[in-house]
Amino acid sequence: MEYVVISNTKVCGKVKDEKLTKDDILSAGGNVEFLLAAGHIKAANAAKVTPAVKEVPQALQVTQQEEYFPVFNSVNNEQGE
Amino acid sequence: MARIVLTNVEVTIGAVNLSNHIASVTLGSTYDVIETTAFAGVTGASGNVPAAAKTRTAGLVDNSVTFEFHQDFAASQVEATIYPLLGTEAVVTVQPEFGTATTVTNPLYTFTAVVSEWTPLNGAVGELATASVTWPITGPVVKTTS
Repeated sequence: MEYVVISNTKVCGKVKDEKLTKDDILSAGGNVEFLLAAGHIKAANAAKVTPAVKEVPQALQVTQQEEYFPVFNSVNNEQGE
Repeated sequence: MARIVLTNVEVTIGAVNLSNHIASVTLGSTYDVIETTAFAGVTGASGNVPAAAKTRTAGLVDNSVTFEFHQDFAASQVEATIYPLLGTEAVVTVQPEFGTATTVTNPLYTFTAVVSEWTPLNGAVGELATASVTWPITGPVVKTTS
């Protein structure tokens, strides 16, 4: 698993925005949980959540629209009556 | 060998470089001195050295490290780094010259310190907030020269 340095202090010899692996941290005598809790690093794949979330609604939009319009129409019908 | 003026010592604690918040470092090793004097072990006089002298040998080594921190409560700075380590062990490295290759003249010392004490706030009016700590070292101090 990869991590990104987010603090202004060097972590395992890496500066802010540089990536490091769990092995890098362990070989330098670091503790992943401690570094995460202290705000020195974050999971590198955390940034990939955004595109993954965007893809899901696009796939769901078709089914949502198909299911949504009949309900919407029926509501209008009821209101019209 | 040239004398050395410390201006750029590198200190990492738990893989985090806190050198720019440390003003003083002392890495020390003290061996227990075990007396080995025995009846038959006393050697004869030599010159002005008396014949009856105690003999000793080195026992276990006791290592410790002392830091003087400049306190900083900002995110991921001194307090955020040290306070969670209190009561635990942390790998610490100390090197005289930061950014220079590890050689005989710039050795790297690696050890595991027991973070046994911490002073979050220390100082008088108008003074810099500092924290002076001495942590015992568990196990040996490994000196790397290459």
